[in-house]
Amino acid sequence: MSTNLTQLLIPIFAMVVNVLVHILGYRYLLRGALLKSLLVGFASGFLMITFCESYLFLHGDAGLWETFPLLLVNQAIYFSLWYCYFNFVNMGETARRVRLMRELIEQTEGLTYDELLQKYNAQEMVKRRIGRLLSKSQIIEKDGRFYSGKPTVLFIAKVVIFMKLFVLGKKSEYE
Amino acid sequence: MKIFLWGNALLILSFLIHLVIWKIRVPQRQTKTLFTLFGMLLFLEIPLIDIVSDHFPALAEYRLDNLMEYAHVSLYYLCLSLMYIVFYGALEVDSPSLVMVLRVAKEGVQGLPISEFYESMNDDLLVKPRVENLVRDKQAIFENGKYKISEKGRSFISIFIFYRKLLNAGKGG
Repeated sequence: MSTNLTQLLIPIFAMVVNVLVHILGYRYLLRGALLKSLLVGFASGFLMITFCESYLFLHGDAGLWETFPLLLVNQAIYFSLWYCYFNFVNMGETARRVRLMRELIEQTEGLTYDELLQKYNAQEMVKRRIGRLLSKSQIIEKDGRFYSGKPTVLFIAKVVIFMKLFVLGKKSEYE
Repeated sequence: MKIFLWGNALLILSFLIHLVIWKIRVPQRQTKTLFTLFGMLLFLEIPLIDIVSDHFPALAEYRLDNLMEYAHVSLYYLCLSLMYIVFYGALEVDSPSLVMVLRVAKEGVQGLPISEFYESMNDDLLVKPRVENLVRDKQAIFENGKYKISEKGRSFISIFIFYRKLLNAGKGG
């Protein structure tokens, strides 16, 4: 089985399924649970690809050794698109740049730095992030101190630091 | 298999060129440079694949046969490049949540006092650089002591506002 238009469209179609499931899931089923709704969306698209490729395999004349690499390629394309979508949604939720611009767009005459800080500042930013980390048990609060919790975000942070060192040769933008 | 092979070969080549450029000098506008670099290789894909498969007999069986195969390699390369460029954003700018988790982990079993933690996270560290970046990237303009959104910034943020409305979500941040 060589590539044809159907094979090309499968990951795009799965992405559409993912977006629809995510929006509907977030609005009506998992209200407020952003990560869960994103993961449910991802799973729906992933299942869609697997279903489509299985259908083509069962109803076509291609062998497993031809179908399997195409399945992997389409899953990689879908995962990449989903990762971009995940970051786009996440940016709307957490990015400082986006939040600052939302404050600026609401004020046609503009804002001084102090006025901007009244609307959005480090304290609010930290409070929101601590809230998210505590609710996901990534850090634990006990006797006026923070302790490490589940290792997921810490693992991601270590991977990011490793890549920063590898590509940029430094650990932080402030170095 | 052909799509996988050529797609990954192009990705590795782009990544190596990117690494070499970065080791010589990290560009001022990093994301823009990455888009240009990965985009250039996307344009060169067809001649590159043809030249390599013509000159290496071992690769003859992996020669792409039709336009759809080239399109599939392009889609694979384009999507994985985009994923890397998006991931690169996390390398270019420190994420406050990741910085927080690392700071807490660094203190180990004795933990990090909450008051000390809040003191270290101030506006100069978390807000000021992002406001300066908005002006640098022409998404906001600074005139007469005030920051105003630019046309470029307006179009950028409109997509997020539309999507947040679609999700029925708040301002975020």
